[in-house]
Order: sequence, then structure tokens, then C-alpha cells
Amino acid sequence: MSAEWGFYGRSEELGALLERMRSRRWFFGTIRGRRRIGKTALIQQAIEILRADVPDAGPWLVVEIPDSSPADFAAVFRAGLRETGLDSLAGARAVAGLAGVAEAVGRLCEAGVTVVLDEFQVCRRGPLSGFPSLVKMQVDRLEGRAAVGGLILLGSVQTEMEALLENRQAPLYGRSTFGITLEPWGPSDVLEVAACHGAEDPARTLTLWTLLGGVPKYWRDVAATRGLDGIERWEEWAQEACRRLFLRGDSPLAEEGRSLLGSELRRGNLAVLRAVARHGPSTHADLKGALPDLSLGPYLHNLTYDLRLVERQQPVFARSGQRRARYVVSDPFLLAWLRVIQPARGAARVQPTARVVEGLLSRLETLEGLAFERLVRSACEEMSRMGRGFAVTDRVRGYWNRPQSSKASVELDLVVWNSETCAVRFGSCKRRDARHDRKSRSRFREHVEIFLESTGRRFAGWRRDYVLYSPRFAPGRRARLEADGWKCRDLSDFRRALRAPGRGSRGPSPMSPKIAGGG
Amino acid sequence: MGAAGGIVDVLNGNWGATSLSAIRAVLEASARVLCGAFGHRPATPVRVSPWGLAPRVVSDRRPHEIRLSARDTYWCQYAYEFSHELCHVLANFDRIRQHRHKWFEEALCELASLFVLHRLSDIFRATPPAEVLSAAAFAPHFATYARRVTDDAEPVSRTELPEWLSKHLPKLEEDPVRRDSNRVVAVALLDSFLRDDSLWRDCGFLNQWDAAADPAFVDHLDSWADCVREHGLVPRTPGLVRATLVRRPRRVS
Repeated sequence: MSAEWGFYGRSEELGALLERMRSRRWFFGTIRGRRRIGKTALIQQAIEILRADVPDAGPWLVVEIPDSSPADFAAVFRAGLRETGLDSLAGARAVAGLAGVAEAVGRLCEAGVTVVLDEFQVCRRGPLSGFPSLVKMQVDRLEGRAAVGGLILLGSVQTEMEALLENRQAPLYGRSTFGITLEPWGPSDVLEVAACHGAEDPARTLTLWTLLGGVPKYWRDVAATRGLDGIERWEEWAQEACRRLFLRGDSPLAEEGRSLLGSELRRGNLAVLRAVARHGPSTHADLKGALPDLSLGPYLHNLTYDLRLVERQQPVFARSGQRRARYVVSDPFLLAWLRVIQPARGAARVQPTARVVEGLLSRLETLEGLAFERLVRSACEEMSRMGRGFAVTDRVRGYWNRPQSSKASVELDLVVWNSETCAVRFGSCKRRDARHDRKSRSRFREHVEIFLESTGRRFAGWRRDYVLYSPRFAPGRRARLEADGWKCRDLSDFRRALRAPGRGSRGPSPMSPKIAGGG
Repeated sequence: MGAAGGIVDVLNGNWGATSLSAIRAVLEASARVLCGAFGHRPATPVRVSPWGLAPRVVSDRRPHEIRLSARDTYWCQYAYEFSHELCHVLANFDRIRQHRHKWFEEALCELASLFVLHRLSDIFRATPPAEVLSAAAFAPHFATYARRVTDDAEPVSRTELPEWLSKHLPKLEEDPVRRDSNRVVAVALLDSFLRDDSLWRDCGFLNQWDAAADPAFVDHLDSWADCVREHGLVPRTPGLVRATLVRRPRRVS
């Protein structure tokens, strides 16, 4: 794949950050987002672009706060000062303990330096918990001043950062001048990156979306993996991609899942997450059966609301407080890791790799079906936000509850609607276009009818729209389906629709060496 | 037109993933092309800021304020939007805000966008601005963008234009911003303006008389020519527009 890596997506966030940084007034901001989402890359890119506008902009200091003792934090901070040559500005020798670090941060900002403190969530509890109060004193001192630097806090655990900044009792409450949350890339960014880095083929795009979700760092690892371009058949390509990304000793993502789980999760959380991944969508009772000795409530709460690795789904159109919820792993990378990669890595220790990757492919194909549905839903929403295609005001969320009678059973992959125009769109997603056969189409229609007579009665009389989705439609099959009155949409359609037509070609941007380089 | 000082003041805001200096370089180059052709420039630098709606120039503000929807490094879109709005400024858009011939100003502004895009393609190739990364390599994209806009316009042959206009005129007089129709007129005039930049000079005299008093489009063209004459110049563009767009009365033998 291509070795030329760019800075993709994040236009809105980067623009917001640059706007603050160009203002030449004191700023105190936060950037939040999951690990590997590109918080540091965003800052590096902003610094690179800013150089063109503010040649005399002050220097930068980026320090990752260690999850250890105040003395260790001070040592890491002093090392950062030495590396950037800022020792004299901050009085590096005097930097000892939390108070010393906070005072040095204040002095640096006053001297025009922008200080970035990464992993700030570790200050929520433990030996560094006094640090936010000390930072607050510096922030209050610098507030409103012109021609000074700024302070940016980065954090990967959403709830910990919320507790540190948005809780009324928290010392830094109400102080930040901006906050940016980085979400995983959406379909438009993923489709663009896939096209730029040798995975334009819809089957390959879907495989990588299934394995990596929208996490930029992982896509960059794919882009840096050479030798995949020349592989013709998807099966061989997918096996080789998995081998190179995950299974070999030198694979860039070999330990990613484990380290992600290890850094984020305590043992009980990990057991629950594994059970949810293994079992698929799981009710409380399912999990109790799998983990009888564990008190599930706190773990499920932590995984769902604090770490946001698990999603709690209600039956379609159920009220939020209702029981019968079920849980699914919401982070696509972790789901793929737990369902596909981890078992393969375990098996590779005792079996020939060739056999292991064959088994891996069948699990991957199953997961791709779910990932494709997620991709279609996200793409429909993104298109709607861009003012293209079907204008969505809402969609069906949750899962389709199975009633006692199988005749009344409904499962629809996509139901979106526009309550202003009274239009509802139903979608059927198949990983292979051939699966949209006569039987499947007729079942799709039946399910829509049952839905409209039961939970979907509110849509009676609305304009209906039926769409078949697949990663790719063979031209002949598409023509036949369309002749039969079906709308067909594939990833190439999404790619075209999500590319803004009025914008023309995009010029290159200056690239931070740390983003463009191979390291 | 003097070369001293900038024509554009790019304001800080969320412009996406790009520097203000690169935006300024693209807009300044566009402004130099258009102001050079008009033979005059706004008295003070035009302030340009980003916003989330369709591009527009704000009425009754001095310095003039233009708001663009272009973001990131989509340079063609910047040039296209900005040239359109700057043409309104150079054509004295807010001297008379509403009259039935405003559609013609809209068409000229559409023409300004296409004209500037073609010129930028040459300028970026010959003298690429240092602030825009790989400007010379990007140069052909301006012309490609202009050609795509031109190709998307309804094809109307030169001989059919007067008939086309008389058919569309009532709607245009009702609603001046009918992009598809404005574009047909712009495309019809593009080659002439690309051959002779000085045709823009007369456009700088638009909206300098009571255009609301012109009952028909031909009267508007006559008033325009009179206005140019009053300034001691020989009008050329009103005649070109008349020859291109207006059906000649049949001669009575």
C-alpha cells in the first residue's frame, strides 16, 4: 500500500483549534477521544499549519503524564523541558513535585509557550489527584491575558475527563475556553483513506472497516504495510492483511487489542467484555449464565457509560427505562479483536498459520455482515447531514425483539424516516449482492409489512422507499433489480455521494513530519 | 490600478485544515485578476470570513464583507465563490439593491467566477504563490473546475440564445438568483471576456443609475451604455451583451 500518509478528516476540529491558536490570546482547551484516535496528531498538524500564519508563534511542550507518582511526573516533565530546550524558561531545576510542575506550566504559558498535557485523566484519582487544583491556580492567573501561550489537556477516558472538567465540584470546572471531542472517522473519511491507500475495492474497504473501525492510527498501519496491493483475490488479500497486521511477530497491531484492554480495563470489566463479545448481543441473564460469580451491574455500568466500549440496546421503539436491554460491544476494533483476532492469535501458537487464517476468515465474514449494516447506517446519516440523498430526521435504534410467534418476527437492517416529509426508507443489507435473491427480497417486503402493522403503525400512509445495499453490485444484477423497481446502493455510490461535488480538487496541506513520516 | 497593499483581509475563523496565509494568497490572486480587469479596486481591503451558509457579500458594510462556505484546501471553490462575490462589490451591488435586471448582475458574477478560474490556472502555473503548497501542480485544477461548471450548464447554441432569454426572462426578472439560467448567460459571454479582459471595465458602471426605471432589459442595456458614455468612455460591453442575448427587431422591407 501507499507509504504517503496524509492528514485525513478532522477539518472541523482542526479549524476550531487553529482559530483559537491564531487568536493570540490565552486559551485553555481540552481534546478528548479514545486512544489512537489522533489527539496528538491533531495538535502536530495544527502546529505545522500555524507556522505559516504565525511565524513567531511560541514553542510547544508536549508531556505525557505518567500514571505513577508526583516525583515521576516531575521527572518526566523535566525531561520534556530538556528535550525542547525550555529548561531556562521554566526553571527546570526547581520543578519538583506537583506544585513545581504546575508553577512551571504557568511560567511557560506566560512566556508564550503552549503546553500540552497528555493522558490528563490519570489526575482524576490516586497520587496525582491534587494536580488539577494546582493547574487551576495557574489558569485563573493567566485568564484573559493577551500575547501568552496556552494550555491544552488531552484525555482518552471520557468520563474521567468529564469529572475533571465538567463536574461543578471539580477545580477546573468552567475554566476551559474550548473543548474538542474526536470521534472515529465516519464513512466519508474511511472511504477516502481506503481509496488513497490501495483498498478502494469495496470488499477490501469493508474488511478494513470491520477490523479497524474508524481509528486513524490503525489505518495508517495498513497504509504502511507493503505488498498487499498485488494480491488479486479478496480471500488471499484478507488472509495476508490479517497475517501482516495482527499475527506476525512484527505486526504493528499484534499487541494493540491486548494493550488497549490492559490499559483501560480491570479484570472484571475484561471478563464481562469478553463474554459480550463471545456471546454476541447479550441480555443480563445471558451474561449471568456465562459469569455466575460476578456482580455484573457495576461492570456493565462502567463499560457502557464510563468507558463506552459497550452499548446498551433496547428493543426497537421501547422506552429507555424498560428492562429487556441487551449489550453489544460498540468499539469495532475491540469487537474484531475479541471475536476474530484474539482467537486466531491463540491458535497460531499451536497450529500452522495457514489453517489459522482460514478459520479467521469465516469468523471475519460473519462480522463483516454486522459491520456493513453499521457502515450503511452511518453513511446514510452522514449523507443526510451533508444535505444529500434521503433526508433523515430519525432512525430505528435498538434491536428487533423476537416475539413468541415466528410469523410476527421482524428484523430490518435499516429503517430511517423523515417526519417532515412523511417518508420512510427501509433497507436490506447483504454482504454479497447475490444474497439479495427473490426469497430474501420477498422476506424483506414481508418484514416491512409486519412492521407497519405492528410497532411501525405510525408510518401508515407515509411514502415508502425500499433500498437494497451491498458493498458492490455486479452491473447485470443491479440492472435486473432496478428493472424490478428496487433501488440499489453500494459503497461506490456512497463514495460518490459523500464526495462534495462543488468543491473540486483539494490542494495538498503542509504535513507535520511526525504525521507524514514512517515512525 | 495601484499594486500597493492587499485587496483582501482574511479574518480568523474556522477555515478547516489550512492556513490563513494560503487562503489569502488564493483570494488575493483572484482579486488581482478581477480588479485588474475592472480597472479599479475597493477603497479598503475586503474582509473575508468563513461561515456555514451559501456565500454572500453583506450589503451596506464598509469595508466590504464577504462570507465564504469554502474550507480546507479546496482552492477552486475559494476562487469560484470569492470572485462571484467580489464581482458584486465591483459592480456596486448595494447602490441599488433591487430591480428587475439584477439577474444580469448575477450572471456577470457567475461569469467572473469562470473568468478568474481560467486566469488563475495560467497564473499559478507561471508564478505559483509560495504560500500555497504545490501551487504550480495545482494550477490545471482551476481550469478543470471551470470547464466542469461550463459543461454542467444547459447547452444553448449562440443562435438560440435570444429565444432562450425571452423564454426565461420573466422568471429571471422575478427571481434573479436562478443559478442554472445565470450560468447559461455567463457561459455565452465567457469566450469574449477571456479574449478581452477590458470588457469588464464597463461592468464597473452598473447600478450607477436608477435601473428600476428601465422597463425592459434592452432599456437597461441602453442606460448602461449611456452611463459609460457619461464617464467619458466608449461603451463596448452593453453592445456585446445586446448582440449575444437580445433578438434583433425584424427589418421592415
